[in-house]
Parts: sequence; structure tokens; C-alpha cells
Amino acid sequence: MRSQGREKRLTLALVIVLSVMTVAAGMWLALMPGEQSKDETWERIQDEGLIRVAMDASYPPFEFIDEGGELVGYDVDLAWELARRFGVDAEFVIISFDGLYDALRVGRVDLIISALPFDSRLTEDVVYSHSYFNAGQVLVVRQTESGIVGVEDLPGKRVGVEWGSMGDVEARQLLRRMEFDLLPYAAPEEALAALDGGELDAAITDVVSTYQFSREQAGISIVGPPVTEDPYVMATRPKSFILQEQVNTAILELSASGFLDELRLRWF
Amino acid sequence: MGLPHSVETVNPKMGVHTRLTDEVEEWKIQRTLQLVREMGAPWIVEYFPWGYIEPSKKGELDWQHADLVVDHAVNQGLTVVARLDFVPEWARPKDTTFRYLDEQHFEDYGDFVYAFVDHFKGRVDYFIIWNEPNLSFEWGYRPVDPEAYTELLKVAYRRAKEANPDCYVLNGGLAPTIAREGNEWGLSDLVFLQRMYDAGAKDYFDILAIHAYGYVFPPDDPPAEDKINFSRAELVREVMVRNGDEDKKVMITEGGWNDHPRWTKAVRPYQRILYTIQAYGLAAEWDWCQVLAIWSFRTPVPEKNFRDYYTLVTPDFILKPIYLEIQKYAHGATDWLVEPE
Repeated sequence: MRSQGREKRLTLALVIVLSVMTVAAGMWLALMPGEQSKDETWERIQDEGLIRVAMDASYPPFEFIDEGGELVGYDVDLAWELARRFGVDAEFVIISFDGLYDALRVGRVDLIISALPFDSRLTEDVVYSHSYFNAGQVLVVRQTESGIVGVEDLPGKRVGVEWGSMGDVEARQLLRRMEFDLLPYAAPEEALAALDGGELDAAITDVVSTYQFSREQAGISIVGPPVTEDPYVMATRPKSFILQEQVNTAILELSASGFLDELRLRWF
Repeated sequence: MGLPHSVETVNPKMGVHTRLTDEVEEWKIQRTLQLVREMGAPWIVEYFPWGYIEPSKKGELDWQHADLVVDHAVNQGLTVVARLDFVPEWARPKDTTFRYLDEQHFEDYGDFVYAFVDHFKGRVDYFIIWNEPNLSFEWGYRPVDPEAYTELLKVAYRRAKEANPDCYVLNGGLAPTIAREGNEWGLSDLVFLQRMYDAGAKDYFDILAIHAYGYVFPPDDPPAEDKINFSRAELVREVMVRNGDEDKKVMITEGGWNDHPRWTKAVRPYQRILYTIQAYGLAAEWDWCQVLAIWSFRTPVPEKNFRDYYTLVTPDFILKPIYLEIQKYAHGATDWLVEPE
């Protein structure tokens, strides 16, 4: 009995301590409005009329140097549109992928837009935006195909993949629980051409290659949810909370307005 | 730990660079090394950060994780090549990176090398001193300095041999780069090595470590000083020969190809399979090459960038097609070169 009483007292004491700590933390936050309301990055962007965007220009069609030596791509156009909305100019800082986060951390840039996958390990170091593109693997069928609406419909079918790709890896995983003919091709375009030509019933390919192929060949479509998720996001410093809000608002509006679809059609 | 194993392979020069540094769970360490053995690679290169083993105070060494990795590797019949770098905070100035080591602390590093070689005597015989010292990033974001690095190598060599006279000391694997003198990011591996020889490095390493990445070129693409490809290894070898060091072997402690769908330095996945196996074959033919360790076998968690497309096995132990094809090659199959229709 005495032991139970001591445990109750300890529990009560713990609750009190935690409550005091919570109240203290709340008071500290409330008394430090300057820390919360000031976004130095956003202020500098507005003062200088310039947002500095980091990207690794070796990922076509998202960001690359074209034959004329110009930096171009889906992300480049998206960055220009964000700058236009913010009423500022954009400066692009070309950095190899390994250095993108360092450049953001030391304040050399304000924002990373670089076909950047969401990385859950870094969410204490940076703040990620909403996703603006999912670059994962997708299931593709001919537009005349009505019997396949997802991977569960693949048993007994002929399924093409790019040999050795992540689509191939996913298909081999599916083969552990269902049976279908898995046919490898040297490139995703070859698998999609075989699909379009009737040699296959479906293909699992990366979404960018699929979009690019479907621009030329209108006879195929993506069905079902993505086979794999690979969301591309933008990254800001944790204290850039106004910039984060502005970026997220812009992404939602650009998605709703069809601008992101226009970008896709322009580049893929 | 289980019963001890041995590696079955047709090519005893096959290796992989494992990435177990941040792998916490023992079963994952064991499973990774088991898969290396089952693939048919007798060699692993693994990174043992000084700052992890001696993190807070000189002389306070924690061997627990390093022991786990080494003991499981040895149990799987693998030969370990240990890379030693990563400066603990106590051995470098504030606001420097973990690659920053000034000359005042060379002896501290030497003491660590001594302790490491001594601790693993009988289990590990090969030690890599630093990593890619010809890149500014790997030299603490300072201008690269072949002469200073050679001094570090001399300290480490002397201390390693004091701990185990029969061990093999490797230089820090040189990064393939065409950067010229004065470039802020690095210096050509060929120039850096020559300057190491000029600074007296010849007697302070037993095996030359280099990195050999193919980027978009096949392994038999001819070497050239202004080009980065796999066969650039032959040019590094020529520097050794020019300096009368032809009796030493070369270990390619990192190398290979990447198959990211969009990175401009990547190849198609089927090309990565073919090139990797062809490279293992080339290494077998090069009598001066002791090991080719492909970068990299598996990472503990997804890197979430192009680096994920260097690996052979996913973080959750799904075997990529390239793993399965290498495994077939290592066990004598001859049909791995069949390209898809």
C-alpha cells in the first residue's frame, strides 16, 4: 500500500512538473514574439527584390543546361513563377546535389528547388514544402484497356519493365504474391512502345519517362495509384516561416490553376 | 553469430563498399554481410569513423559497434578493409567540419590508428588512411595539400606498423577528378599522387587505394587525363610505375556506376549491370589490381537522392536485379551478358 501511495505521489509530481514546463514553454513563446514574427529571409528577399534558389543543374528535364548554355527546366520555370508571385527577381545558384543543404544552412541561398525528394531524416534541419510532383513508378496500360485499373489486376498479364529499374524491382516484388509474365526492356521507352504496339498488357515505368512517351504516343494512360511514391518538394530554413507559407500557398494555387500541369506538358 | 562461413566465387578480387557505420541493429549488420557473402564478394571496405569510436575524450574508446561489424564480417568469411577518418570535435577547432585535421593533431590521429590496428589485430589487416584527400571537402574545406597529407600518412603508417608490423597500410582513396592546380574544390588524382611521391610517400603505404567511377562510359572506354572513366585507374597505375612503385598493388576501394533515371552522370540500369560485371572482369585481368570494391552495397536508410541508385540492395533488403546478376556471375554463370530483347 505504501508503495502504491508513493507511485501516486510520484505520478502527481511528474504531472505537475510537466504542466509547469508546458506552461513555461508557452509563456516563453508568447513573450518572444520577435523570434516568431520575424522572418529575416523573407525580409531580405523583399528588401533586395531577389530570391536565391539553389539547384543541381544535372537533372533534365527538371533543371539542366541546354545547348545554348542556358539554365532551363521544369523547376527553373517554377522558380520564376514563384519569384513573379513574390514580386522579386530570381537568382539561381548552381550547386552539386551533395552541397544543396549546406548552402541553405549557411544562408547562401533562400530556397532549394531541385527535384528534391522528401527526406524524413532532415525535418529538424529544414522545412519542406508541399509536394509539387510525384516522380515514382506508375502502372501504364493502353487507353483501350479496361480490365486493368491497378496492380491487383496484373495476374495472367504480360507486364513490361525497364530491366534493372525500380519498376523492375517492384514488379519482382509483386511476383512473390501473384503470377504474370515479366518482360524486361533496355529502356522505359521500349517497354512503353511494346505496350502501345500490343505486345504487352501493362508496363511499370517511371512517371517522367511515361509522360515523355505519351506526348508522342497518345495511346497509353496511367492507371491506379502510383506504384511507388517519390514526392519532390522544396526546402527552406526552419526560421523562414513566412517564406514557407508563401511557397506552400503558391504550390496549392499553381496546382489548382493548372499551372503545374502546363509545366509538365511543357517539359515532359 | 552462427557457424563460420566462406565465400564462393569465381573472382576473388570482387568487393563491395558496405555502409554499416550508422546501422544500429545487429541483425541488419549480420544480414547485410551475409548477403555480401552470398553474392560472392570476398572483400568489404567499411568506414570506421574516429569520431564515433573516440567521441568525447582522447583515450576513451568505444569499440562496441566496430567489433560487431568486424566480427560478423569475419564470421561470413569476408576480408575487411577499414577506412579510418572523421575527426572528433575534441581534435579540431570549433566550427570546422569532421574532415578538418590540422598538423597539431596528426599525432592524435596516429594514436587512434595505433589503437584501432592493435584492437583488431588478427581480425583486420588492411587500413585506409583518410578518404579522398585530393578533394577540398575531404580536407576540411581547405585547399588540398598533398605534402601535408603525406605527413599525415607517414604518422599513421608508423603508428600502424608499431601496432601490427604485418598489417597493410593504404593511402586515402584518391577521388577521380580532372581539377587543375589552383582549383578551389580539388586536384587531379594523377597530380596529387605525383606530389605525394615527391613528398616522400613511397615508403609509407603498402597498397595504393583509388576510386574508379565510370559515369556514362563503359569500363573499357580508353583512359585520358582529361576524362573521368573507369579505366582512369590505368593512368594512376602509370604514375606508380613512373615512380618505381610497380611492385605494389592497387585496390579500387570505391567505384562503379549509377542508374538514376535522370542524373546526367548515370547510365541505364541494364548498362550498370553489364558495366559492373565487366569491370569485375577487368579487375581480374589487371594483375596489379588486388580488389575492386563497388560503391555501395546497401545503406541503412534511403538517401533520398541519386546516391540510392548506386546500391545493390535496398535498405529493407530487397535484392535489386543488379545484385542477382552479379551473384550469377560470381557463381560461374556465363549468360549474364544477355541484354533484354
